[in-house]
Amino acid sequence: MNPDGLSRLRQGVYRLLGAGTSHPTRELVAVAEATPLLLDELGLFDFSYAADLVDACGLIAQSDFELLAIEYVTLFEAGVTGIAYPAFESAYRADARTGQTAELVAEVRRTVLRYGLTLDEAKRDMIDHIGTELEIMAMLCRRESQRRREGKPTIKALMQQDEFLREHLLSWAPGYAMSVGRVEGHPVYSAIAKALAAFLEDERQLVPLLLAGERSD
Amino acid sequence: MAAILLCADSPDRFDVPPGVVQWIPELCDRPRQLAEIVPEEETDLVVGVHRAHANLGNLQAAVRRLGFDPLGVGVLDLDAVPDLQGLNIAVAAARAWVSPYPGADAGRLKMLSPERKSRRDFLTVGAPRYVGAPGIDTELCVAANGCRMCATECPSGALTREGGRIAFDVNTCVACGICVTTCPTGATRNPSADFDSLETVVRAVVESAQGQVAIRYRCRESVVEPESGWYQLEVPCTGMLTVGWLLAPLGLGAVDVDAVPCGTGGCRLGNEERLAVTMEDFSAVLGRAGEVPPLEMVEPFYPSSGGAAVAAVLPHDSIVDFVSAPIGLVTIDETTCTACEMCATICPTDALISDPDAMGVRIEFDPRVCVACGQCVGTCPELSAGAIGLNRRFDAGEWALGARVVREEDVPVCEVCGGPVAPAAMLTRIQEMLTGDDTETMALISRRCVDCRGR
Repeated sequence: MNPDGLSRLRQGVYRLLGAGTSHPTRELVAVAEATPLLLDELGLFDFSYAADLVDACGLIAQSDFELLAIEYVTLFEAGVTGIAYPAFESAYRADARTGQTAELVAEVRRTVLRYGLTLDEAKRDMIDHIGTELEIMAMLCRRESQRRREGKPTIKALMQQDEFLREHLLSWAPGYAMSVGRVEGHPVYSAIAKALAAFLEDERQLVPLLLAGERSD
Repeated sequence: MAAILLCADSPDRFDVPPGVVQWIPELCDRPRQLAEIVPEEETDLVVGVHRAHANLGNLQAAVRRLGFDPLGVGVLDLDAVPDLQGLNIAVAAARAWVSPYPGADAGRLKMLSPERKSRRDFLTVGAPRYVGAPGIDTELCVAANGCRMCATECPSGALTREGGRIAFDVNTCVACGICVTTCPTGATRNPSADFDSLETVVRAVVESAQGQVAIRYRCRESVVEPESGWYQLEVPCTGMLTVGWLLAPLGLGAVDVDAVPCGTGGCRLGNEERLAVTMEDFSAVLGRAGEVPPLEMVEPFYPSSGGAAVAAVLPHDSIVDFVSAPIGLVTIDETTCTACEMCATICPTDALISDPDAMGVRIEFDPRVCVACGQCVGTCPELSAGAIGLNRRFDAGEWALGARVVREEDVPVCEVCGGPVAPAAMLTRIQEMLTGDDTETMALISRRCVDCRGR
């Protein structure tokens, strides 16, 4: 495994989990089976979350798309007394009654624009949705990989990853993932959530190590 | 059956008959070849490598690819094996390790920086190596009562007490295991430093050697010269050892036990002094006990620091003083103690308990569950007046006496509601502290409970 392979691996895992935690697509179900093989080339099994990710991919590949879409809505979008497991950062970190939700969403938007990323305003999910936040991290990993291939310094891209992880994803997503991981009767989303929890715990430790390594070089 | 695969770097040294184990050329350098060797149906795996130059991160990645949990695989260090008998013992120990391994959830793994042991490693990023990280069982943790033992003893500052709970920072943690053995209630667990695993491994070692083996604890990072008749038992850090952990192998049939800090240059965590104190206490017990009798049960060694184990092995007329833990005798001075119950509130093992009723307060002490943590002393508001003391001592007579009342105090009754006001000694102390002639305030405090003073 080389450093470029590592950033491409992380980009791939973020993208896969971003798709897995967003409204399901037929493309996700179609590519899930082959994804671990592709990620293995980049060093997937060097990391502790590999087994959970392979399990999740296997379950996604075996699932019926229509049923998966129903499960997604049941868990993350609908509910008689509210959404069972809201997949938004603001649902965990902001008090809607005091207007904090809008403030937090605006803060995520400002951060993303500061990173120089472009937002697709036509997307159905809010910017603080788990799938979107994971996609933002995928873009930052892609940027790191590109700069590495061009022989340019990657410290800024790593600092942005570190900041976004600490300020946003790690502040709520592990707890969210642990809750969804314990849900019974929804094995696909439970497996995706377990993989997400394991991956984020790995990232919590890996990104500071990468950053420290980059600073010492 | 377990697949037993050993690196064939120096098989001649052991002269093992063919068929017992498989010697794999360059296993240390190319662990990924395991995928072509291990049968798919294999459920247990034991791997032997030369720790001095094997990249353990790459080895973990290779066994993970095979579908194993890397921390649940028996890994033996061929550099620590002195001879063929030692190899048989090490294989038995590695196989035994597999069964009690409890597994690690997300967040219970500590990622260590990729090891760089070969020239090739400098050209690439090696796979990270994982070790177990502590997790806190909130059902057992008594931080809400004020306990902060793990946070106090943690050498890296990874554990902190915040708002009545213990916060854990995995990035600061060095996975030394000290929090596991200092937790008075067993709330802190680490799958890589688990007492059940220790017991299973030691039993397997003793059985394999038919009792003729000694246990040498060594740190995860150290390389210790192999010695015939000694099995090297790896723990995260020898600083985590307690008197109980040192007594356990003897109780299980080992002929001797010792512990060495990091092989060269001292302990990188600065825990040599900690180990030295533990060894001093251990020697004190052994010096008095003569020999350790066989023990059917080793449960008393854990989770406490080993007080029950000490009582089990010492003669019935013993008095032994300790430098640190594992056992204590709390004394209360009736003339200065105000019976505020702070000591009983913070005591994590309920060695000190308070029993307040309408008539008064009774504080009881039971030496059999005291772990000499000293938190009662640290929290006593009348410490400077000598209200409480702690002797780190085992006294067989006191032990046999069991729980006893160490403080009794009357509590006046509220003139309004009939409820308790405060212990009489505390009211006296308040009176001493109040300056001037504010008799009106003192009278109010003495006659009415907190809820009724404003009426």
